[in-house]
Amino acid sequence: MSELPQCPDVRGVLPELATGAAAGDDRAWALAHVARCQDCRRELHHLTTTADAVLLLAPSVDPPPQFESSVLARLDAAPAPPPRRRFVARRRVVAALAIAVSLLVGGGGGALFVQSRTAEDRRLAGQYRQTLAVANGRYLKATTLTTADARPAGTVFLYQGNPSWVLVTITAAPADGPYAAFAVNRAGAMHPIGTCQVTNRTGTYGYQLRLAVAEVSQIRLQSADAVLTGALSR
Amino acid sequence: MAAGDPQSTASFVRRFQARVYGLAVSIVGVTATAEDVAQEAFVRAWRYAGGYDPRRGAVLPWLLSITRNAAIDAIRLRRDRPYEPEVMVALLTAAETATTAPTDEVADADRIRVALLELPPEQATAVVLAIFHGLTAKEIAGRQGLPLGTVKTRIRLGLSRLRDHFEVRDE
Repeated sequence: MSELPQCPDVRGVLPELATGAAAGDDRAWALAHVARCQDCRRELHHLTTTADAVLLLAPSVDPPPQFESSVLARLDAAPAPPPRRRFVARRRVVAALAIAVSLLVGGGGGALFVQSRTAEDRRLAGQYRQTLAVANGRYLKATTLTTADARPAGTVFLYQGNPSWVLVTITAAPADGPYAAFAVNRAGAMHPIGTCQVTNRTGTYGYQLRLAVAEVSQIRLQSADAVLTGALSR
Repeated sequence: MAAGDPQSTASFVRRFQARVYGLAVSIVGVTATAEDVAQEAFVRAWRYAGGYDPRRGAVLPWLLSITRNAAIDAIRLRRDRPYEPEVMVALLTAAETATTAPTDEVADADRIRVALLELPPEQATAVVLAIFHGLTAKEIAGRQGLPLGTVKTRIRLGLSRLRDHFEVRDE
């Protein structure tokens, strides 16, 4: 797909986006349009609010007696969350992504990485949509990263433009540490694209992609302890 | 749920635990798994608390959407669906909203329940499979033996009608 879709194409997909029923390819091209269309963005917001409201219908059920203490124990053992400075943090991430795009578009070359400690998919999608608008990209693809035992571990976004690049967000890696990232082409050859450091099982990195997005069949991240993969259809 | 404030964290967990656990049970069906899912939801909420934007809505829908995602992660691993979608629709439309819930959320739940009841059953089923079971339109089509286009239409019409009845509050 080389052209961005228009409102009539996207309106039919918005309910699927809002409920989570959109497949990866539909999701990517529809989000690419939503990024630059305020009307569709507003409609998606309303549909998402409706879909979230359906969750309110689940009945309340009292958990087992030790539930509260178990949650508090898990929170005690968990690493400290990022400071509650959402707006500053969001501006920083968007600015960092915009800088990444401008450097890549300007032929900066080399693997450039941007790290974000908060990696919730919806937030990332919002940041990415703004980035697409900055970079005037041609199209997006997205796929889920999974572990060797098929657990969801994050999301990969691929951007076809000049230059092309890939954004990897890891939300639940099985192990911390450095991960080598590779783009695997349709012939099975592995092209190194960079290294990312996973901390507290999360991390977000962007790299310049020297292959056409259509030629990439898989994104693969591997460390000494784990392998994460995300498959891409044509 | 402020980091470093154990009292307010405990208060937050106490206030919402029945809603979070109730949703987890509704999705995963097994109480032991639901307890893990509900705990995970609070951990994720704590981790992502900095990303919560009060302008986007109340805390409960935000927390429930996190719970839903954690529950879907769990059932994807097990590759089973505890409830038939028709049973799930019946449970959701019959359920009484907790009397302890804040007033706005009671009203929201009542409106969405009425709207769901008024949907044609096949549209309600498609919407519930997508929202509660995390299935894509293609997965729903495969599961129900229907053409993909039919499922997409059901989701589109169903959610659009829910939205029209729900009268979503403006940003």
